Amino acid sequence: MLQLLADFFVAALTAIALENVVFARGLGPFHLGESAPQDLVVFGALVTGITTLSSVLCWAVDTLLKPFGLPLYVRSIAFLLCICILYFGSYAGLAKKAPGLLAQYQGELSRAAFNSAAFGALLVAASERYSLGGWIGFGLGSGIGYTGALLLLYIAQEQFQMMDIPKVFRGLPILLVYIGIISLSIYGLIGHQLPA
Amino acid sequence: MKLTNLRRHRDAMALTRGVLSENPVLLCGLALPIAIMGTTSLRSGVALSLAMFCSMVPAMWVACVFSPQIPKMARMPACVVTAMAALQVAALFIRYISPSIFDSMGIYFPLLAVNSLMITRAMQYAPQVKPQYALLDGAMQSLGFAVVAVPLSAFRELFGSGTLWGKAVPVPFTSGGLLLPFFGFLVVGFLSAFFRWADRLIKQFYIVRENREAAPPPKRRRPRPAAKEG
Repeated sequence: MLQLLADFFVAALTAIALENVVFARGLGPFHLGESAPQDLVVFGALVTGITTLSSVLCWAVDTLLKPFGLPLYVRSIAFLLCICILYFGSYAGLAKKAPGLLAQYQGELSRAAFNSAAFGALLVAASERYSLGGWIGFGLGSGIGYTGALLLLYIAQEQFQMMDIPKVFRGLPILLVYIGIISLSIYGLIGHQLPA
Repeated sequence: MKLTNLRRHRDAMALTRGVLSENPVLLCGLALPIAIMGTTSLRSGVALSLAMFCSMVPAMWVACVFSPQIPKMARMPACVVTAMAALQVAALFIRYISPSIFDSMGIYFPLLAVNSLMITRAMQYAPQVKPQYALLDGAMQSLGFAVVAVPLSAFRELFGSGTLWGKAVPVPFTSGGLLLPFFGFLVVGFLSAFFRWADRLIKQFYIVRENREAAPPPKRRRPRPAAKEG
């Protein structure tokens, strides 16, 4: 039990900071236009829920498929089907229990389930061969790290609007340069040095 | 302001929309994870471009033909599952490029099934057009991705590892930092800014030329007589 908790916390912290899905892997839709912070938090919460719950299913599927020695790109079919099952289950559950909520967030639910951040987090966890605690921790941490990255980028975009940035760099280009600099700083924070 | 020439230029480029004009990676910001992180070697860049084509075209066809029959909530899963199935078939052919190609691509090969380029075009464009235009759009968008991914991956492998397609090439310098994620973000950011500048330049060329021809010649002002001293 203690080992499970230790794996959970280590994997969660790794996913939030060191292996952040946006800054370390470039995953997920990170330029969400003119979305308000509360919309970003809702979208991030949906992604967190999808990755955390699907990580349990995917751990079970990965354990079942381990004896066959299948490569990752073949096991990814099963992971995608787990996400589909979770998506349809969430849709049915919300349709029954909270139809108003479903009507409001239907588009966000589908985008949160089928994006590279959610699926990528599962693939990274599978390639790292985590235990159950590690899978759940990595899924939860990836979602939290993704939400934090979205909010950080929102703040950055607000700052950019107050600066005199050349026209050709406004919007996506300056955001990519910003993410690159943050990615480099995290790389150095971990303790890596740039190769000679 | 007259925009006839600009519209003619836009209509002439309509069939190749997505390759250079309205490039999905640099101008629309789609499929960025794969373009930035997956392009660390020329082999992976070519393989990802082929896989993008193989996954996108069937997904566009499914989205175009079957959208009326599929409930709205099931359209995205249907496209994603179609793309994943097509990727597995594509994997059989891509393996001929290199048996160990999937090691270099890592998690970015299966991520093509949920890439934002495929989902955006399949959800927003494919249901509104005829199947042949949906297939053409899938092909053009994939080509637009390849236009960015292949040169970028060649550059990063050449000056990051000193090799090209796995074969050693003499270069004046190499730096392992070019293979890191931050460099991909910076290069794609600057390329995006360059493409925007070029796009704006082309549009200004058509607008200025057409409106200069249509505008009357400027009035000549008579020079004022010099003030008399006295």
